[in-house]
Amino acid sequence: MIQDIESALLLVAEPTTILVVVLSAVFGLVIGSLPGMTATLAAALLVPFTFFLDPVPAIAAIITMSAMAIFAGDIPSALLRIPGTPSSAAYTEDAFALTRNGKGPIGLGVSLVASVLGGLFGSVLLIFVSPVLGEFALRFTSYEYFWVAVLGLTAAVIVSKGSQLKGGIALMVGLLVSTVGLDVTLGHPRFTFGEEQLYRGVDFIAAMIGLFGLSEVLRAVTARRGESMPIPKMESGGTLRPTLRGIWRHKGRVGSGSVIGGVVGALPGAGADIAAWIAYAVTRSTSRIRPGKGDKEAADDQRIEAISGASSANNAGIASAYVPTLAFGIPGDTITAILIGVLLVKGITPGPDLFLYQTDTLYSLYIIFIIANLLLLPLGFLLIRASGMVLRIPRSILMGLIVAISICGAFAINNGYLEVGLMVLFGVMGYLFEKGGIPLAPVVLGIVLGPIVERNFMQSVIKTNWDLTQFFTRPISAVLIVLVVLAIASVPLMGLLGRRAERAAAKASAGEVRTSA
Amino acid sequence: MTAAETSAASPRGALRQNLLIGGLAVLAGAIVIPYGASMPYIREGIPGPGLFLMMIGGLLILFGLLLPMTTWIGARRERGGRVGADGDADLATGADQDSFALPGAAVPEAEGDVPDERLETVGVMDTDVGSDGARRWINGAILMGGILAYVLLAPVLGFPITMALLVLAIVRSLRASWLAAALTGVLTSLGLWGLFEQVLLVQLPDGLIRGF
Repeated sequence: MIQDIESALLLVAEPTTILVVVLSAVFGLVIGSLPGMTATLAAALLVPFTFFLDPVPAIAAIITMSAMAIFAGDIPSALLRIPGTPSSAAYTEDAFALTRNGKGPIGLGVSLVASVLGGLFGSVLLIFVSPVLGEFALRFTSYEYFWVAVLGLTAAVIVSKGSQLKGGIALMVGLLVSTVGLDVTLGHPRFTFGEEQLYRGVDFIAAMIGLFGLSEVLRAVTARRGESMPIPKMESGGTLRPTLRGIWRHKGRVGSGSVIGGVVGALPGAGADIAAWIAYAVTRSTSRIRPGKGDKEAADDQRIEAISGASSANNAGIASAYVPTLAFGIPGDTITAILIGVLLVKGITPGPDLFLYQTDTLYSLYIIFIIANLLLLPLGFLLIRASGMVLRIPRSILMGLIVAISICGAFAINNGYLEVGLMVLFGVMGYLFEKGGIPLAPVVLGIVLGPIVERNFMQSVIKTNWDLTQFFTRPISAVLIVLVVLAIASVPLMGLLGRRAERAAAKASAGEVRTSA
Repeated sequence: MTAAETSAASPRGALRQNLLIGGLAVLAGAIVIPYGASMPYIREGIPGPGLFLMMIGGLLILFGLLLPMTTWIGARRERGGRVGADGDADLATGADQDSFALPGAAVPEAEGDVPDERLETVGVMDTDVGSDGARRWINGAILMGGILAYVLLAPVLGFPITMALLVLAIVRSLRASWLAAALTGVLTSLGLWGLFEQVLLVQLPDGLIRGF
């Protein structure tokens, strides 16, 4: 083990890896700070470059970028009331209210430190839980893999924002896309329309670039003209002490947020966004701070408390989303789904084999997680100081750049135009889906998990001559079925938690109105 | 907010939108099932490549039928709630969402907050790339037509020229100045050319500049 850690340290300490970490950190901070630019979009744009890197720097690029982008999403939340990434949306109102009251840098500082602590907690969880699950996964047969993938698909639909039925339709579309190419049983072509290049299936990376990159540009170019937004003035000097005081005061919330983020993020298909919303709802609904009439300090303290809980959860969720990815090869969220694509290109198959045969790569991944989270602290404070400047990057130039990188990335996959065409197709699809309020994450998970579900299902039924009882009678399968049922049962619970948070906030507001009357 | 979003925000708009999405899902399912059924069987009575497709098709039809139904029920319940208890915060759920959706946890402003109009600001951000009227769709056409033109022209003109023209067109369509658009086009094109051709060793289309 010591030898593995040593070789992992050597891999991480290579100049290329260090350079990649620094560049992707800056890339993540810039993209995350721009309103509407998600960490998934940043990951999709990074992928073409990772093709040409060794596995460890390629993994380092995606991990570092995502850790940075998720925090950076808080910057436009605080300054413009526009969440930079979906996981910042939970506490956008609180962050902006703090800025309005002259405490923007403290809110951002608390969010930063909570993110770092949450990220480190998630990394520790990843380091200790994933090997245990990986070892457990060695006992899995096609039945268990089928159920794990079904659990992932169920979670993807359940956590769909807005409507689970639309999430279900999106998932079916993703599964349908995954069937393009030669099938696993007889090698029969499906949806290839006589095009031999489609026999290998739809390239996942081209689909990602289209769904998240090109669709964003399409949305921007067809947007209606709105008002230009002024950036609130923010004095960021001397924020360290009040930030640390805030974190210390709400250390319990950082802890509970980290645990929620760690657990929710580890659920296949959930990820950091959902973790932040749940942690926010829990923190708000169980808050003991009761601001009285005109008690601005208490109101702001309550906001800082909410930010502590939710920020720690989203970064903890990023790390723990790698638990199912590493242990079972099932993506925890869209970013890990992209990472699986990158790993497969590099000849690394996520799953139990990683713990047996590629331990140096595995340990490198753990080390990179810790480095990325520690690096977030200084770079995050720098970003808070430079936030106004980053937000002034013209969107028109950015859109041109995204199109250019998307085309180059899609072309570089196979040095051909088929992937460029697929990217355009998925770009239009992503645009239309977002217009119709259909979530994109289930499409991604459907594309990734589709072949796993189909292969394991067909393998199982063929080897048992269609004895379907085998799916239900094996002990591990039974546990996984219970988890699927629990995941479905968690739907009303999540709704209840959210409604409790709203009711608590409405009650507090009504109390203030009554007192003032 | 786009027109689609505005219309979708009202219960009737949401119902119309979900009816369309549900209809398309049912149609897709109705196409996929016979397509799957037409595929070869592993042996008699045992489906092979078409089984998964038929399952997906069936679920598409199921979800497609349920979506407008639940939206209609949600809208009716909301209407009933409004009549029964006007202004009750608990009943303010969007018709677009089904009853289990995670609600937004928007926080009301606290007493004593500095109002927006007294907020001290430092500048105007150049994030507004939106347009009015037909211009939006012209911008969309420039983007999609530009990519198509790139695919057709890149093998002839080469990557640097075609990409520079494409980026120039997109940036200019978003109301940037000619100079900014031209500079962005040229620098992006040359930067990506250098990075992909020289550093990553990806062969991009040479076109006219082959041999230079």
